[in-house]
Amino acid sequence: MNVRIVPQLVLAAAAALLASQASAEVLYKLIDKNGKVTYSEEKPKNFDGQVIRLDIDPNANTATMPRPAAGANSGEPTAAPARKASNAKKPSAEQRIAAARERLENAQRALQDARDHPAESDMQIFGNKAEACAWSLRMATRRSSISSTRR
Amino acid sequence: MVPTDGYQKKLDQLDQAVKRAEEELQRAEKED
Repeated sequence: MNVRIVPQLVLAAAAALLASQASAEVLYKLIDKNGKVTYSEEKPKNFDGQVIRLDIDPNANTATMPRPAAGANSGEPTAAPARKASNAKKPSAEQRIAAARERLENAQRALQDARDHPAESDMQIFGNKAEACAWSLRMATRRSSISSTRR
Repeated sequence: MVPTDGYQKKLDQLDQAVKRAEEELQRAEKED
């Protein structure tokens, strides 16, 4: 009789152990009257504030680490491949010059564009408004004729 | 028609950007 009970007791103890481990995955967020937040593994008995139960899934926050290389256990330092990769990514002198030239061309184009096509709000009118309007009309006509000849 | 202060500032900034790009290109060519 006693021999039959022992395995059942072992199973019950194992179940209790698992249950206690599961309860360790629970946190309680405590917010007091002043809005101060604290966390506790145990539910407080006399807490004057808000208690929020947080069920933590331990499998949710796992990071996937890169697999070690085949020769990782041969004593070779692991930082070496990363260093090689950074050297491989470094642009060559021609690439840097080409990039610098492209940036210069873009900057020159932006400056020229800003000089050639100021917005109406970029200019202010002094003196006779009628003359200024006539001048703007002339400029608009010239701009349209230039753009039509470019086409 | 006179450029506003804001527009003039914008032109100055673009001009500075061109100068910086020129210097950068010169440095890159020297390193080469």
